[in-house]
Amino acid sequence: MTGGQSLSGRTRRHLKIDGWTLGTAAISLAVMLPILAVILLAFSPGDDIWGHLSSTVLPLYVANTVQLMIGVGCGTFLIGVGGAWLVTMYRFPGKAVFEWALLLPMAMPAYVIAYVYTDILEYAGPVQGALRDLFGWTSVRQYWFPEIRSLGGAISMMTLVLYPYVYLLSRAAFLEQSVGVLEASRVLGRNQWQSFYSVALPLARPAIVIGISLVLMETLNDFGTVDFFAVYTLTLGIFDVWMNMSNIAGAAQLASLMLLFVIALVLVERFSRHNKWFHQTTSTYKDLPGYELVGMKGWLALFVCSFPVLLGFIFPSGVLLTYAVTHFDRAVNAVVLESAGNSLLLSGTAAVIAVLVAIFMAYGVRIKGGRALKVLTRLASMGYAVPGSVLAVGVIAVLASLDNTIDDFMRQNFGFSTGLMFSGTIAAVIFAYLVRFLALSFGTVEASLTKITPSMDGAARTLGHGAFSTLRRVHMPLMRTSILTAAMLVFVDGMKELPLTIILRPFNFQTLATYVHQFASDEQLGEASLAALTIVGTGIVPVILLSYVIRKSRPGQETR
Amino acid sequence: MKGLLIHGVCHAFGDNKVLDKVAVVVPAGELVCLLGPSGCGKSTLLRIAAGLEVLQEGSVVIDEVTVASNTVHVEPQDRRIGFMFQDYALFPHLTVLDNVTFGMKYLPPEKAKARAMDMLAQVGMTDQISKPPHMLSGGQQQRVALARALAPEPKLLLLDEPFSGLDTNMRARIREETLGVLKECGVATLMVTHDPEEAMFMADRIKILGRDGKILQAARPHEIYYHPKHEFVAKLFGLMNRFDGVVDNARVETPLGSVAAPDMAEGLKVQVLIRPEGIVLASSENANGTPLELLSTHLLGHDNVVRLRLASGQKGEIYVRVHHAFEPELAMGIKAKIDPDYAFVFPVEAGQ
Amino acid sequence: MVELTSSFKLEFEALDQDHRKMIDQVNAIITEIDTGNTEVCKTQVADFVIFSKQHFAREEQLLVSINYPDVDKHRKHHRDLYDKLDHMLEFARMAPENDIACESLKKELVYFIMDDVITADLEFKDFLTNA
Repeated sequence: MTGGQSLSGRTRRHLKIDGWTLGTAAISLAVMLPILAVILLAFSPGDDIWGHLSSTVLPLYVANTVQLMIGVGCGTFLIGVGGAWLVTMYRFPGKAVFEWALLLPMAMPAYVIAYVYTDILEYAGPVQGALRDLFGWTSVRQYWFPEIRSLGGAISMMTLVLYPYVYLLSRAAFLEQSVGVLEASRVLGRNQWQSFYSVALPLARPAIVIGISLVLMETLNDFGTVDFFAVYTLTLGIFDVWMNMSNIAGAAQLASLMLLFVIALVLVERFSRHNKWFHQTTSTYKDLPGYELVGMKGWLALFVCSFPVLLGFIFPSGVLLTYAVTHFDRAVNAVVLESAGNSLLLSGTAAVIAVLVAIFMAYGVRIKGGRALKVLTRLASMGYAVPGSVLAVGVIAVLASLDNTIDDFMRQNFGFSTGLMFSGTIAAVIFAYLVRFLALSFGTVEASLTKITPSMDGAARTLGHGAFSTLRRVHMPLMRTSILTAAMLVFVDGMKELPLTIILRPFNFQTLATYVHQFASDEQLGEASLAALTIVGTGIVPVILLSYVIRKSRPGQETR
Repeated sequence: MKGLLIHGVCHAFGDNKVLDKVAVVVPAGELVCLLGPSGCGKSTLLRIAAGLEVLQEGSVVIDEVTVASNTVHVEPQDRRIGFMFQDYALFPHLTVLDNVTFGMKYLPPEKAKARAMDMLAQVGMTDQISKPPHMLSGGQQQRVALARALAPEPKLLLLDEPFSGLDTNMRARIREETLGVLKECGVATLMVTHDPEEAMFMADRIKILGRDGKILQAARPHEIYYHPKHEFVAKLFGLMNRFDGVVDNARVETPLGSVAAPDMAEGLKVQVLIRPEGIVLASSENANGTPLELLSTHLLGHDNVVRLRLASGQKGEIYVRVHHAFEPELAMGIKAKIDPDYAFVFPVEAGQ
Repeated sequence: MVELTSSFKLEFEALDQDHRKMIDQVNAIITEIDTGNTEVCKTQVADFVIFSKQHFAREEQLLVSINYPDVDKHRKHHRDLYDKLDHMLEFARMAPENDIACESLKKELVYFIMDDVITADLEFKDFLTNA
């Protein structure tokens, strides 16, 4: 839809302000406001508990957060990169299955898996019970068993469900970049391990860095796991200060500190993206030298790959299924059904709005173009990096001030009070979801819109079709899949979301995620099992999609 | 007059003037080629003619109807033109047949399909009508794009570097086939390319667009090649041998002989440009000419590329193409003469 | 066949009249070729060449009298066309023997009058109207 302007269009090109820019600017502003509010609040006078915090719990929060990030970073690196390497470079029994199966843990929210393993591995659980029966121990002082509810436990849980990000990106990098170079390396006398270490790994570094940055953003975001394990991270600190002490300034200060971490991660991620690494949306299969792993080596590879899949998905799903069946009558009740309805409402609405906004922004960039719009859309996509707890504080601050302003205005001019109109409503939660998930829908929609080349638009025009006809007959058919994908991705992430929802939800309002959190925290995993399974069920859908793409990109089905 | 008339078109992108008072006339049934280096305004002119780019200055008339001027801008979809894009721009979600019928929405479906099949038969693609574009080779896609552009019976056909995406083996054949189809259809065609050989082959008339956006010469291929009016035009066809000199009595002296320089001021500093095939080699001590020393030869098959140097030891290589059998091993001493048909004299611009 | 349609008019009677006459000459030559009277081409084309050069001279004089800034450029453009005119005479001479010469002659005449002469003149149409 380039050119084709009327005479007034010619002059309109010189005007910087128009519908597209205005709309996109409004969207970016809405996204940035909560973040700005957090920073502003942090510096506001008032209940300044910073001094109190820093001398008591702050060092602990920071230390735990940092240790968590380091632990999860290392863990996901090892499993993600290791798995990707095995699966792309070697042939062993079951490799074709593991290529997509290694993605499965992505469907599990970290808090769900934390509940399951705690239930299984705690003192009163079946594993320790069986050990005690077996060896005749009667008390905890007679043996040592790792405590699951610890920093180490939290690191393990998050590693198990977050490594697929690193796996996915490393695998794509290995496939696309290493082929010829590795062969050259072999010819020059390096063995497999040396080739991996000195050639493939550095080449894939940008992708791996991006993967780990995303993992660490999710780690910062996590609430359910650290809450359950009582590992006091900054996120938990924010919750504590806000929910228990009602001190918004303090929460904002902690949140600002977290923002520093986030900015560092975003900078690292952006810098890596610039590093000449460009990921195609379908990774075509290249004829890699798939070294055959014979005999023991092959079985070892299979064993190694099966661990993350078993521990991260199959085992926990099995446990949940068992509980769901045995506790069926208690797992299905009115509250669960209502929570499910609420989840659907929130996630569904967020998905629809996120896609509509994404389409608007994407078309703005395409039709109007220009640096201003590009920058604005970048800003509007920043929400994914901001942890849910931080975002929640910001949203509260923004809506509260909005409510107060309207209330004052109405009181002064019309003599009545409107009270709290936006705070603590479903709209607040949906708004927060949008801020956080807009990047997801925009990225998907924009990528597919760029595939519709300007010359296709030109072709449609010269073949007699106006702007609307082109939209209907060329754009819509080509965009349909990605629009549905974008909606689905936002929907699934909304279903899994916990920290934002807990803080911002209206009174007595449960989603499936908050329901699971509540009951599992009270050691009633049985009641929560069905709800948890539903969440995992929706999480499977994008995994199925991704695994389909992976399986489709094999030779013989390759398209031009 | 049926066909295209463009005149006075100026166009600039910011400070970059890509078209400067450009005029083009394409009568119905004729093929005019706009030839120029990459990055100049050729494609822009095509887009202006199509209405995909808004005219800044000048006017565009198609079949006696003004479609663009400083008061008029007819939208592309209303101009009844065909456009073939460099990347073909076939719709990935439609089959070959649906792509070709896309431009005939105003016709009843059976008529549209019949017309589409007719065009597809002309380009030889009737056995592929159900395939989606990504399953076709580059050459096949090009043919479908051509059929799609011609199916709605446009008043004017615009081709944007239509063969640049093809590999060299295919290019010659597709060029010939395309020219056949275009002559059969009899539609006025304006083609844009940076390949001089392509322009020479396809065009009834060639217009050379220079780097400053001006038309440097407009003539039939023979005249462009043998009577270039500008050194830029002469140099378009490959390496030239250059000798600098001064006009003396309407002639210029070069190491290989003297060349006529009619209509040039006495004493003017000039450059003599000689095409590689314009230096005639003779290998015998009795022949006339300037002695040259052989550096190397490379037989290409139809041509022999010979690199030589002046025997007097002067610096600078001389580059010659020989069309007949030439074995340097059997040459008893090489003498060179200039064939005046291939030598052109131009003034030396300041700073050259 | 060509025609002096409105888009090709300079809206200046003297020049338009010349152009109309040249178009008539070209059409006449085309008709003769199409009906096989190739012998008469030689004289027709010779007349056409003479008239063209006279037209160029008249036009240049006019442009000088109204102080057109790019007179020299236009004059050079006319000079550059002399080669083409010579070639047309050659083609005309060969027309009776050679079909390709006939086709090329027709094409060259059409392009000459419509593009090289009239369209090039359109460049100073605005200047003329305001003069």
